Order: sequence, then structure tokens, then C-alpha cells
Amino acid sequence: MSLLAAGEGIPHRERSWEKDLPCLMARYQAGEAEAIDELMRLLSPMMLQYFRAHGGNAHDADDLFQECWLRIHKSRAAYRPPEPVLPWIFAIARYTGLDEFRRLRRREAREISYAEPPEVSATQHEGDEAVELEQLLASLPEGQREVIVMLKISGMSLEEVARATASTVGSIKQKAHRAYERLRVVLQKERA
Amino acid sequence: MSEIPQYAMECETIDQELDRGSHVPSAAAVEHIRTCTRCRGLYHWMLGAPQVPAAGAGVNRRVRSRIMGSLQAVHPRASSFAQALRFFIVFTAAAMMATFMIGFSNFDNAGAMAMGCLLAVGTAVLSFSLAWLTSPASLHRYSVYSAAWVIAILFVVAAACLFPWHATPDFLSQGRECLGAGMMMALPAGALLGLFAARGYLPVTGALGTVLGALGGLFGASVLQFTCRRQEAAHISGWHGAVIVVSIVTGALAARLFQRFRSDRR
Repeated sequence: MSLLAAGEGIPHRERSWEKDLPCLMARYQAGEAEAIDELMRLLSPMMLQYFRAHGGNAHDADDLFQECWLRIHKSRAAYRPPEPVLPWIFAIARYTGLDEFRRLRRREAREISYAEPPEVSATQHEGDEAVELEQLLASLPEGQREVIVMLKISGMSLEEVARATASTVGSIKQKAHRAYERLRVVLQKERA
Repeated sequence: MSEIPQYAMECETIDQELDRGSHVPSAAAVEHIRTCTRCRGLYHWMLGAPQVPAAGAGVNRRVRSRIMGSLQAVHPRASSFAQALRFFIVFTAAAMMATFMIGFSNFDNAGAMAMGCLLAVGTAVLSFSLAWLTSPASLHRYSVYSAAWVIAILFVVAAACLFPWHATPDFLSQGRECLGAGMMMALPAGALLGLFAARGYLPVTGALGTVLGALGGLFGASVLQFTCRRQEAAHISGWHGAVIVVSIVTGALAARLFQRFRSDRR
């Protein structure tokens, strides 16, 4: 994903490689090793961003990333070329994250807290931008946060996010617009 | 602290731009971003390049080696429409078989036939929901939960309108009998349909439990509709309708239990 300066400093995203994804997925389904290498090269950074944006530490994010790729591999027959690939990938990433979240929540509810110092996430050392991203996302309710993370990280449209979250476009639009308004206020307050 | 500007009508332009995902911003959006500080902050934050993290040492290598170890050609699955049609055919064939085995009793009843049509439409609607749920990134044209509950409510209302109201002394005992028989058919039907749908990708969620429960309930209600001798409004809307409602709730709860069981095992 490249970020280009359009006109006078107004950013926009360009994903010129996205049009190659359906073809790569079809080659992957046909059993071509080069296709999976190329897919991993293109999609892995986005998937890691997605898992890290949900607040886990780097180790958890790596585990989820690995689990997600294995699920993608197991479910590869469920992709139908030439449908959009990113929503398909994010749908599986989302279920991988949800399963892990449920597991952690149950484990935390059962385990006794030993008042150990919290593990410092690797992302916390990666600069103010990551901290700001986490802080801003933390100001949103879970449903809105999920939509914003997908819109921001992947650059998908609302319809693609609706596909990835097994939801309707109307529901996603409502969540996104409420989140935009909340983010406007938070960002404005920060800058003020 | 400076006063925070309020939402202007033009801010909606920016919402729409962000809704579209990757693209070059329109002239109107660029103009608005220049003048509105609130939208400028949001737009730059949303489209600002996020940090690109790298996976831990060896993660990519491990993933690749596991994928390569089982890399073989697979055939893409059929379209959602074809899958929905398959679910519908399996459901209808199984319902007809169960009805024949128990024995028809209301084939000449116009009300029963109208209810049969309503049940067929409900089955078709839920077959699409099931096909979408079992295909990642399918576009859901309607909410699974709404569809399941609207069908249950329509069933109850239609039964109340299409059939005569008679006071029967053994309303409770006959009703319990039908509810029990309906559930005995609904639960295996929902479970079998789930197994039939579980080929390659089956995210077990509350929505999946709800849709399988609703389909199981419709199965029980369909068979009862053509085999039950008590074709009376209160009995059908109350007890046959209860088969659908109880089955939906059971499906949703079963999905939650399954999720809990799976998270305990990991």
C-alpha cells in the first residue's frame, strides 16, 4: 500500500497490486508454491497490523498471524475467483482473532492474578504513532473499533468491510459514521 | 481550550470519501479538508500510513513450511446461490421423506398448503443465510437474526389468520405432544444440516447457531404442518410456532456452548 500526496498534501491510498490478488489466489488453489510466497509477501504486513491494532502484544499477534495463515490454507477452497481477496482474508483473520479473544477472556476469568507487572508490548516501543493509534482506537466501542481498524489498515470500502464482518452494509455504515464523529472530537481535543 | 467546531453538512462528504476506501479524493473533498480542521484531522489520521510491523523471527518460515507441506490443488467451492439451492433441496427432500414416513393428513387443507408455501419461502431465505455464513466474505443482504425471528413471527401470525379458532379441552397435553415431536425432528435436522454445510469453512458463531436452529425449527414445523391432525389456530400458532422459537434459542445456545468448549480445549 503506498501513500501518495494528492494535490496539496491531501493523502490517498493506492493499492495497484490488489488487482493481482484474485489471480494469485487462483494459482494458490491450483497448488503453485510461488503464488503463496507472493500472497504472503503482499498480505502479511497488513495482517500483522490488524492483529497488533487490537491491543495484543507482539508475541500474541505473531501467534494469531500464524494461526490465521493456517486457517486460510485450510479454507482456500472456499475462495471463489475473481471475488475480492482482501475481505476474504480479513473475514478469516477476524474469526481467528475472535476465537483467541474468547479463549483469553475465559482464561483470564479463571486464573488467579498474581499481580505481576504487565508485559510491555513490543508495539509500545515502536514510537508515538503506535501509541496514538491504540489510544484513539481505545476510545471507540468494540464494534466501531473493528470497522475503523479494517478501514484504516486495509483501505477496504464499506461493502468490503461488511463482507469481511458477515454484516450488512447499512450496519457497517452506521458504525463507521458514529466512529468518524467520535474520532473527529477526540482528534480535535488532542490538537487543541 | 479552543472551541470545537460542530459537524457541518459538508463533513458528510468526508464520511462518504472514507466509506469508499482506497481512491483519489474528489475535488469537493479536497476543498472541504482545506477549510475544516475537524475533517482534516480525521482524514489524515485515517489515511496516514500505519507502521508496518515485521513478524517475529522464524514465524514466516514456520508458516511457509507448514503450508508447503500440504500444498495441493483444490477446487473452488460453488457460488452462494448454488449452495443455498443445495441446502434448500436437501431440506425439502428430507422434510418430504419424514412426512411420508409419518403419514400425510392435511394434503387437501388450503390453510396447510398456504403454510407450506410460507415455510418454503422461509427455508429459502434461511438457506441463503446459511450459504453466506459458510462462505467467507459473502455479502449478507439481510441480517441472519432478523430473518430468523421475522420468519418465526410470520409463522405465528399466519397460523392465527389462516386457521379456525376452536376451544379444545386438551390444548396443553396435545400441544406438549406436538412440541416434543417437533423438537425431536428439529434438533437432528439442524445438526445434520450443519454437518452438511461444514465443508472447508464453518465459523461457529451465534449467527450460525441461530440459522441452523431456525432451519431445524422450520423442518419440525413443516413436518408437523402436514402430519398433525389438529389444524386449529391456537394449536398451530402456539405449539408449532414454539418448535421454531425453541429451536432458534437452542441453536444459538448450542453455538455458544461449542465456542466455550473449543476455547477450553485450546
